[in-house]
Amino acid sequence: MVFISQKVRNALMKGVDSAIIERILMETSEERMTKNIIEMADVSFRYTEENPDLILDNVNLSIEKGEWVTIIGPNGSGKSTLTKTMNGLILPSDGKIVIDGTEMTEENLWSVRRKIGMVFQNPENQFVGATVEDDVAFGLENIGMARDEMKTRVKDALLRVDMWDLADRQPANLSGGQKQRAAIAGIIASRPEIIVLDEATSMLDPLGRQIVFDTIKDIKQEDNLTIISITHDINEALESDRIVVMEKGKIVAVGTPEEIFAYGERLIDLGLEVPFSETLKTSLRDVGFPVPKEYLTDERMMEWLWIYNSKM
Amino acid sequence: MDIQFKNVSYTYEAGTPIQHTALNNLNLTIKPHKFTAIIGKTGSGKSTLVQHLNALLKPTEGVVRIGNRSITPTTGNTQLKALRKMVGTVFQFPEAQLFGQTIAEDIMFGPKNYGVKPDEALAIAERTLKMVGLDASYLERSPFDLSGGQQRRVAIAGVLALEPEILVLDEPTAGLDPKGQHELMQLFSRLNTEMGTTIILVTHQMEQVAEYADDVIVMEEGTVAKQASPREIFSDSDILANNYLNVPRTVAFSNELAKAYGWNLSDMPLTTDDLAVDLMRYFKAKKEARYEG
Repeated sequence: MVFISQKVRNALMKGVDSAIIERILMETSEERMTKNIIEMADVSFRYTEENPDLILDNVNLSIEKGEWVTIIGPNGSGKSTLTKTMNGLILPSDGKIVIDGTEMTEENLWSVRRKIGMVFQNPENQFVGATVEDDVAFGLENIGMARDEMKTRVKDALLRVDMWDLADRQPANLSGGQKQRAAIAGIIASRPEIIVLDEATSMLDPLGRQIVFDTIKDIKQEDNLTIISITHDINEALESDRIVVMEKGKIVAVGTPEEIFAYGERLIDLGLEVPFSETLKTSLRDVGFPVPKEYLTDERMMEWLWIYNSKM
Repeated sequence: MDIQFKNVSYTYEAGTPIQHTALNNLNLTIKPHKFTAIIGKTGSGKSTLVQHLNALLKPTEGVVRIGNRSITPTTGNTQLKALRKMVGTVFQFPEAQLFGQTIAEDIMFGPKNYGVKPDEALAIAERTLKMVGLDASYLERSPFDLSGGQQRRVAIAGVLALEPEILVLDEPTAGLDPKGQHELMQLFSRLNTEMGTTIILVTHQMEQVAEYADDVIVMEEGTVAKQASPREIFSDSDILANNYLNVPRTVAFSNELAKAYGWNLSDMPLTTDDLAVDLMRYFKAKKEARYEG
């Protein structure tokens, strides 16, 4: 299909010469390219030549700038490997990856990496600073930020994740949840265009998880950042723009949260928990309540119980 | 085998400007053969506490007693080998400690270290691998070609291979998919009920506490804020609020019903099955009351 933008159509109607039209065509195709901040085409990965198991099996995925994409799938489905190919931590065996208009090669790896901040589940091996504050500042020092601005940014980031009180602690002596907060403060301060979170809040208590989640939502909004998150948390998945489902190294479904939640019980196989109301529904059915088949939110479930009780 | 902490304090980097007290004059008893959950905010001392159970950390002050063994600030490392066979610990992200060329080698390391012969150690490796849900075909594979979730299982198999009497689990299911979480929790529960293994679980998931724990310890600023049954803990709104703890979804839903409709279900439902039974009972009672009235 040939795509002709309004710009080109206007130019053609005005009868401008072909060189100009060509230039406009090039510009618009570039615009369309850069709208997708990540493009993966036919990406495959295996550990070694001898081991034929494909960890990624011909993956095609485009992510738009400013999108919040959740990747779900059972453990071992290739989610972490997929995100590691995005910043070249893993080089695909086949296929190509374009980040913000630049195809990733071994030569330009380092400049591409600047655009992507990754936080892993276990940030233990990511710390470089002697204190929490130093560590968060490290990324900013690297890009040559002025000292005053750096200090403000670091403090702001640590305050946002409730870690300012622990700014002078050694990262190694933090608890698991505090380490995750410190690592997240690092990307809040440096604000890379693309943030990849790989189970990055798994050690936080539910309230702490909510605080971090809200903070990331805020900075995404402020700077139009792109977020890619691997999670098993159904509430987090629910708030994202798109859910990508992986199984055995392949993308098996892509859809809005509503579309994916319609899978019901199959969500367990896809690596997500079943919503509470669905589990309750099964228990209610087991003791003889004539519960409806369709998906009910918690509120709708309460309403249903009220109506059922009043009819009894 | 009782576990007792008497006036235990632990300070990180003691004597330096960055010293920080993680346990503060803590006293507690953990009963043998029970499933005990330890909960609390991040940084409340949960992990520091459990690292004392196999003497990975020794108290700065006070005594930890495990059965008839005592760990004090001056206990020497040579006295700890027998203790460490008795207390198996699955730390946070145990997969980071895998090192073997093959999975078999990794799991066999512990038993061989305690004098088990190689062929017997291999049989143990095969058996424990099966317990964590991986078949014998994994034995000769490299642990590093596995997914994070599978690596976690291998690391847990390595701990189970020593057949510990006390199994300490520090957020063992963090980051696993819900199905994997459920399978591992079922395994720990079976070890507890069938083999009598004492289980000590650090977790943020109140549903796990509700479903599996006999006893709950709430940690707050390096000391025990409360130790009680799950039901008592989840009905203590002060302790929950002070420690940023939430109640299990079933309890939250039941509280919502009470608030919105004035339905006061008799029991504190810890599972959806409990909640369904409570609701059925409540509705029937109301219906009967209506007929009589």
